[in-house]
Amino acid sequence: MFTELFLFELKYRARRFDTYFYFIALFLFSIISIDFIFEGQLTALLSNSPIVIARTMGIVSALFLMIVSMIAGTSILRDFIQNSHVLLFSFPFTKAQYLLSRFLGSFVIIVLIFTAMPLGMMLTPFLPWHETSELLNFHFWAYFQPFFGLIVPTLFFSSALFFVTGLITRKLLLVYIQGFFFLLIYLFSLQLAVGSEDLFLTTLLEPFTFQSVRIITGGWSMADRVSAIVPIEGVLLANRLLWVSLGIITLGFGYAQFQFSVHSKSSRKQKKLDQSEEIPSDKRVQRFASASSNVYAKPNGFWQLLHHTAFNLRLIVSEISFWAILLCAAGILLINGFSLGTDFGVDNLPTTYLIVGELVELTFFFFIGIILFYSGELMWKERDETIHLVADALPISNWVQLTGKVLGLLSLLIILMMLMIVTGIGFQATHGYYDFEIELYLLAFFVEIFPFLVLISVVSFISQVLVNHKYVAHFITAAFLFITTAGFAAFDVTHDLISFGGSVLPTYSDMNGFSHMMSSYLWIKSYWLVITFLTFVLVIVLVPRGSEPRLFQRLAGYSSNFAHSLKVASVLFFMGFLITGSVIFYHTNIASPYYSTSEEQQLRADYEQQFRFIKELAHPEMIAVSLDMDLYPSALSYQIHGRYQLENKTSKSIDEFYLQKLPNDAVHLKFPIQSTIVSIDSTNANFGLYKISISEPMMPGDSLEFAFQQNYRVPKLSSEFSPYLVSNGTLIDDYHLPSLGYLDDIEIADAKLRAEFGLPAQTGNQANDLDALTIGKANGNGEYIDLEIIVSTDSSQNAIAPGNLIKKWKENDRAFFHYRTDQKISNLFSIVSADYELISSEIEFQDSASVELEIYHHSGHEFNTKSMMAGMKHSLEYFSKHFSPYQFDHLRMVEVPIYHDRAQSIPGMISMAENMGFTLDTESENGPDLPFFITAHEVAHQWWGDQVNAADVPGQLMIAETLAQYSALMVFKQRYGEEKKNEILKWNMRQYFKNRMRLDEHEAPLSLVKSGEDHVYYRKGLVVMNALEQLLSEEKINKALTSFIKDWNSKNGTKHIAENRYPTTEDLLSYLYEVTPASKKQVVTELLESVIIYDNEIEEVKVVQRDTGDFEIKVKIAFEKLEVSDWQTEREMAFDHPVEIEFYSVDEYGKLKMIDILEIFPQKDEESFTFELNDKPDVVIVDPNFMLLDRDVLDNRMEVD
Amino acid sequence: MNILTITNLSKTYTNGVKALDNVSLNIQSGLFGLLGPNGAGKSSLMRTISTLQNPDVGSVFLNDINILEHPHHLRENLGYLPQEFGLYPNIPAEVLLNHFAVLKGISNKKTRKERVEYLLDQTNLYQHRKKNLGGFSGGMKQRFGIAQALLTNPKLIIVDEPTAGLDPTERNRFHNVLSELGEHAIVILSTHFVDDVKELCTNMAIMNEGKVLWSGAPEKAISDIEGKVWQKQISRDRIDAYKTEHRVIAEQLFRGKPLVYVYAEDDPGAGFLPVQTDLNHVYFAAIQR
Repeated sequence: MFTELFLFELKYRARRFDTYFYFIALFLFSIISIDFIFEGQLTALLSNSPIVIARTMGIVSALFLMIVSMIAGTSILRDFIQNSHVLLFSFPFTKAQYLLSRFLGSFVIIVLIFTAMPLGMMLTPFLPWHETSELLNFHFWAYFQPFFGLIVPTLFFSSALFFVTGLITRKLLLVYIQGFFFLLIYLFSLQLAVGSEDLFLTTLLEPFTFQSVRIITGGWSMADRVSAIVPIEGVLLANRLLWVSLGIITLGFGYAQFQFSVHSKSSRKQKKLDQSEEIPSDKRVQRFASASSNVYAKPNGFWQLLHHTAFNLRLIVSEISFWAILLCAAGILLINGFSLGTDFGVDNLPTTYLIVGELVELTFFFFIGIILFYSGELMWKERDETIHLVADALPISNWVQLTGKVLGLLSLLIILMMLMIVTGIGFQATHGYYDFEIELYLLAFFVEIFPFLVLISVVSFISQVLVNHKYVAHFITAAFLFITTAGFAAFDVTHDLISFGGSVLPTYSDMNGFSHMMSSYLWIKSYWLVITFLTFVLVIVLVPRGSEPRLFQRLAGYSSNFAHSLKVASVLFFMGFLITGSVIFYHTNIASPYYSTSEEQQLRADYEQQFRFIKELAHPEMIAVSLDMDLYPSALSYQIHGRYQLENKTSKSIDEFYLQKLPNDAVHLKFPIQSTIVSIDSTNANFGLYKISISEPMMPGDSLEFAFQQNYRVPKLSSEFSPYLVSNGTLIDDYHLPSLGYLDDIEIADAKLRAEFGLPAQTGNQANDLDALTIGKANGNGEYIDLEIIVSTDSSQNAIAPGNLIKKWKENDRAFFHYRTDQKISNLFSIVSADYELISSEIEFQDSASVELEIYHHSGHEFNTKSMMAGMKHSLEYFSKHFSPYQFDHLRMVEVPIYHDRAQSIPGMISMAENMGFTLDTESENGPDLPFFITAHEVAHQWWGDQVNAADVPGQLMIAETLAQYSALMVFKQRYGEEKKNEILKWNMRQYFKNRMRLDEHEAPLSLVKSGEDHVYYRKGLVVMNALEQLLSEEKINKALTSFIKDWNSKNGTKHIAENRYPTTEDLLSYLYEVTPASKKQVVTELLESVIIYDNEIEEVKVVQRDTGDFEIKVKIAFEKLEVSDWQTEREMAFDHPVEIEFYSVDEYGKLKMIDILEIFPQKDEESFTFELNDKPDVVIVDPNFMLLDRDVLDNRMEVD
Repeated sequence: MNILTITNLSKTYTNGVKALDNVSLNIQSGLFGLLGPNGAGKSSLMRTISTLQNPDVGSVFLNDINILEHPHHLRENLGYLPQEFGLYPNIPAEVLLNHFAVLKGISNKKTRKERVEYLLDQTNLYQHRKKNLGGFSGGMKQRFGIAQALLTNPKLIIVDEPTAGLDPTERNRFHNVLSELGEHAIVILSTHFVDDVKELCTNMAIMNEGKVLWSGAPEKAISDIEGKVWQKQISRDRIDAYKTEHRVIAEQLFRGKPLVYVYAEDDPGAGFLPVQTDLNHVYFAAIQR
C-alpha cells in the first residue's frame, strides 16, 4: 500500500505544471547565482571554488524555500482543500502509510527540483564573462557533495516543518507565509556572524550552513580555500545532524497531532455559532423603516476609492498571517538589534539617519516580501473567498477596484513605516540619545524609501493583472525587478532612464543633508513613477472581472472598455513621461556627455596606451602654488585663478610639458595669455591633456610662472554624485587642480580588466627603482611648495586651508580668507568650506613656542570634541618631546561630510569625516576612546608624512601609516593605560586576520607593504610595533625614530640632502636594528620582514591546591607557528623564542587582577606545563600582550572552573 | 414597469460547450423562474445578464439600454446573488454590507446606515451584525447574500439557485422576501426545483442544453398539457419497451415498482390513467422532448 501511495504522490507531482516551473526557475537562477551573490567579492576565490559553490547553494536554498513550502506544505492540505479527505480516510491504509508516503513523495520531488541548483551552477563557468581557463577544472563532487551533504538536510528539515504545519493547521495561507518566516531566518543568519565574538555557536546552529562554511574555512590556507571541498565533519556534521533530527522530531510531532478523521477543530468551533443563531421571528420588532425609494445616488468616485482603500487595508490587517509576519519582523529587529558598529571596533552614536539605515537594512526584504505577497493576496482575495462574482457585478469601475487595492497596500506600508519610526525613536531614547530629528525620519522613509516601494507595488499589481496567476506573478515580478536592476547592470546598462527606479540618494550627511542630489533624485523618481502609472492606467482595463478571466478574453474588449477618464489619464502620464524623460536625457546625455562604465574604461585604456610615454619625458615641478578661489557652495560652482611656480629640477632642458586637467567634463580649464608660453596644444583635451610649449627652454634650475583658470559647476540632474563641491562641507583638494605630466590614477587598476583591454600588468615601483626614490607622495608634481590661497565663500561659511591666516574679511556679502604658508609644506592640501562652530585652545611648550589648536565642527557634533582636543594636545606634546619639534604654530581639525569617510592629515590641518570621530559613541559601551586615538594617528602624520616623506616604493606606507599607528598607540597608552591599549590591539589583530582572507595575492611583509594592503600597514603594523615596544622598550624605539627623523627629514635631513632621495623602509629598519640586541634580532626580523602567523590555543587548565596551601596549575597548550611563504603555502616553523603566559584572579567586581606573568619555551606542537602559584588563578592567558600574530586570540584565554 | 429583453443570445465556451443557444426572452417586473436541470445554461444566462461574461452573439436590453454596451448602467440597477459564493471570513457582516453599499453608490451616510440596518433586520441578521462572516452558517450566508443584492432597491434582481442547501424554514422565509421584491422589480430566479417556481413565479422559462424550451406563465404551461399526461405502473423489465412505444417524460418508483408518465395528445390506452397535471409534468415534458 505504501508503495502505491508513494508512487501516486510522485505521479501527481510529475503531472503538475508548477513542478517543472519551479525546476526551471531554480535552474535559471542557479546559473547566475554565484555571480549574483558574490559579485566582486570573490577576490582570490574562483567562481567554481567548492567553498563558493557550497555557500551559494546554502543561500539559494534559503531564498527558494518558498518552493519547499508550496510542495511539502500542500501535500496533505490539498486533500482537505479538495475535500477528498472524506473519501481517502475511508480507504484501507493506516495513518502512518498515508503520512509517510505523502511526505517522502513530496521530499523526493523537492530534492529532484533542487538538483536544478548544482546542475545550473555547473553551467556558470560557461557564461560569457567567465574564462574557463582561469577556473578550476570541472569537478562533479564539488557540486554534489555539498548538495547531498549540506542542502538535502536543509530540505529535509524544511520539508518536515512545512509538511507538519500544513498537516496541523490545515490553512493554506499559513503554509505560504512560512516562506516569509524563513526569509526572516535567513536574514537572521546573515546577522548571526556579525558582532558575535564566539562563532562556534553560529557554526553549530545556522540552518543554511552558508555562514558555517565561511567560518569553518576562515582559517584555511589560501590554496585550500580556492580548491578544497569542504569536508562534512566536526561542527558542520553536528550542525547537519542537529537539523535532520529536528526534522524527524517535527515529523513525529506531526504524526502524533494528526487526526486521521474528517473533522478538524475549526469545524467544531463553527457549529457553536450555528446553534445560537436563531431568534424566533415573532419576537422580532420592526425596528427599521424600509427605505423603499431608490437609494442609488450619483456615487462619489473619490469617496468610494477612499473607502475601498480602507477596506483593503482592513482585509490585510484582519489576517492572522499579517500579524505573524509582523511579529517575525519585530523579532528580527529585537534579536539583531541595531548594529551601530563601525570599522574601528566601537559604536556610533545612534544618530537618526544611522537608525533609519539600520531599520531599512533589516526590513527592506521584508517590505519587498510584503509587497509581493499582499499584492497577490489582495488581487486574488475575492476569487479566493469566491465572492468575486458579487464584487465584479458591483457598479464600480475597474480603476476604483484596482487602485483601491494598490492604495490599501500602500497605506499598510505607510503604517509600517510609522511603526518603524516609533521603534527608531524608542531605540534612541533607550540609548540616551534625544535628538530625534522627526523631519529626517519622515524624509528618509517617505522621500528616500517610499517612492521605490510605490514603484514595486504598482509593478507587482500590474504583473498580477497581466499574468493572472498569483504565484507565477510573484515570480515574474521578482524576476522583473532583478533583471531590470542587477541584470541590466551586469550588461553595463546603468543609465537612470533604463535601470528600473533609477539611482538612490547618496548617504545622508548631518552637515549637508541629502545633498544637491535631491533634485535629480526627485526628477528621476518622477520619471519612473509616471512611466509606471502610465502602464498601470493601460492595464486597468484588463483587470480580471467576471467569469472569463483569460487574458485574450479581456484583451478582446480592450478598446471599448477604455474609458474616457483613462484616456485622459494615460495622455497626461504619457506627457509626463515625455517631459521628465527628455529633461533628464537632456541633462545627462546632451548637456554633458554620458559614459557607460565600459565607455569610461575604454577611455582610461586609450589614455594609458596613447600617453604613457609622457611619463618618460622631463617635466618641471611645482615649487609654489598660488590660488585665488571663489567658492559658491549654495550655487554649486567655483572659479579658480591659479598660478604655479615651476622649476626644472631635472638635468635636461625643457621646452614643452604636459598639463593634466582633472578628468571631469564639467571642469573647464582656460589659460590666459602669458608671455612665457608659445602655444597650447589642446588636441587631446577630451582626455584633459594639454601640451604646453614654452618660449624659452627651461634649463636645469630655471623657473617659470604658469597661470590658469579653472571653472566648475555641478551638472544638473546628473546621476553621479561628486562629494567635493557641496552646499555645506565643500572639500577641494590639490587633486582637483591641474597636474604635471601623466596621471597614473587614470589607469585601470583592476588586473582582470587590464588584461581584457590588452594592457600589461601593473607592477608598481620596485624597491630598487632609483627614480622612484626621488619621488614622494606628490607623484612628481613637486614634493614641497609654498602655498598662498585667497578663498572667498558664502558669507555664512568658514573657509579653511593650510598656512597662516593672514587676513579675513567680508565684502559684497561674501567671506574672504587669506592663507599663506611661512615655510615649504608637502604638496598635499585641501580647501574646506562649511558653516562651522569653532572650538579653540592653545598649547605652550617648554621652549615657550605655542601652538594654536582649533576644531571646526558641525553644530551639534560636539560629542567628542573634548577627546579630540585632548588627542591633539597629548600628541603634540608626546611627539615634540620624543621625536622632533612640531613645525607649525597651528593645528586645525576640520569636520567634513560623511561621504569622505576618512580622516586626512595635511600640513597643519586635519580633515575628518563626520563618522570618523565626531559621531562615535565613546561613552555607553565603555570602549576605547577612538576619537582620541584617531586624532593622535592623524597628528602623527604631521611627522610621518610631512616631516618625513617616504619614497614611493614598497614599504612607503609602513613609514607613513605604521609609524603613525605606533605613535598614536604610545600617546593612547600614556593616557589610558595598558588595559585599554590591549583592547585596541586585540581588535586590530582580529581585523588583520579577517581582512587578510580577502587577499588575492601574496601578502607582503610589513617592510615591503604595498598600497591597498591596509590590513598590513594599519592592523598588523600596530601589532608588530607593539611587539617591538615590548621587546625593545618604548624609549629605544623613540630614540631610533628620533635619529631617523633627524637624518631623513625631507626638508633639512642630513642624509636626505646628502643622498638627494626620500627614505625607504630599509633606512628605517637600520635605525630599529641599531637598538635591537643581538639576542632579539631574529624575532624582530621575523616581525618586520616576513609573514609569520601563529595559532596557539589553551586546551586545558587544571588547578590543584596542595597541602602547603599554594596551587599547582597544569596548562595544556597547542602551539602552531606558520610561515606564509607565498599566498598559497603555509610552512610550519619551530618555536625559537619564549611565549608569555599570564595568570589572573577575578575580584568581586569582575575585574581582572594579575597574579603572575611567566615565560614558557614551547618544544612540541602540544605541550603541558606545570606552574606553582600562591594564589588561585581564575583566568589563564597565553601571550597576553599580543606579541604574536595569532589567528584566533579568543582561544588564548581560558577561565578556570 | 421594467422590461428585460434578451434577443438571440448564444455562447460557446472555449472548451466547446455550447452554454447558450439562441436564447430570446422578454421578462417584465415580477418573479421570473428559470427552470432547468444542472448544466442547462441557467447560470450562464444569468452571468451574461449580470455583465460578468459576454455572449458571442445576441443582445440584452434593460428597458431601452443595451447592457452589453453599457454594463455600468446595468450594474447600477442590479442585485445579484450568485449560485455559490463565499464571504471575507475576518470581516463583520455589518462592515461588509456597509462597504458594498458604498461601492454601490449610496453616498449619504445616514441613508446608508438606515439601509444596512433595515436589510440586516429583514434578513434576520441584525443580532449577528458584529460577527465575522467566517462564522456564518449556510443559511445566514445566503441571507447575507440577498441583503447585499437588495442594497440599492435594484430594478433587476438575479438570484441563482438561492434555496439550494437551505432547510424548509429558511426556504420559506426566503420565498417571502422574494415575492415581496417581485412587486417592484424584475426578479429572475433560477432553480431546478419545480416547487420554487410553482410557489413564486408569475412567469417562467424552461431551459435545457442552452436552449429555452418553453416560456410563459406557469398556469398557461399547465393548461397547455392538461389531459395530455398519463401514468401507469409497470414491471421493471418493461421500461425500455415502454420508452420505445411511448413518449415517456418521467419515471418514478411507487411502492418499489416503476411508475411511468407518458405524454400523449390522446389516451394511449394499454391501461394508462389520466393524471392531474402540474408544473412537474410541464418541466419533464419540456426537457424530455
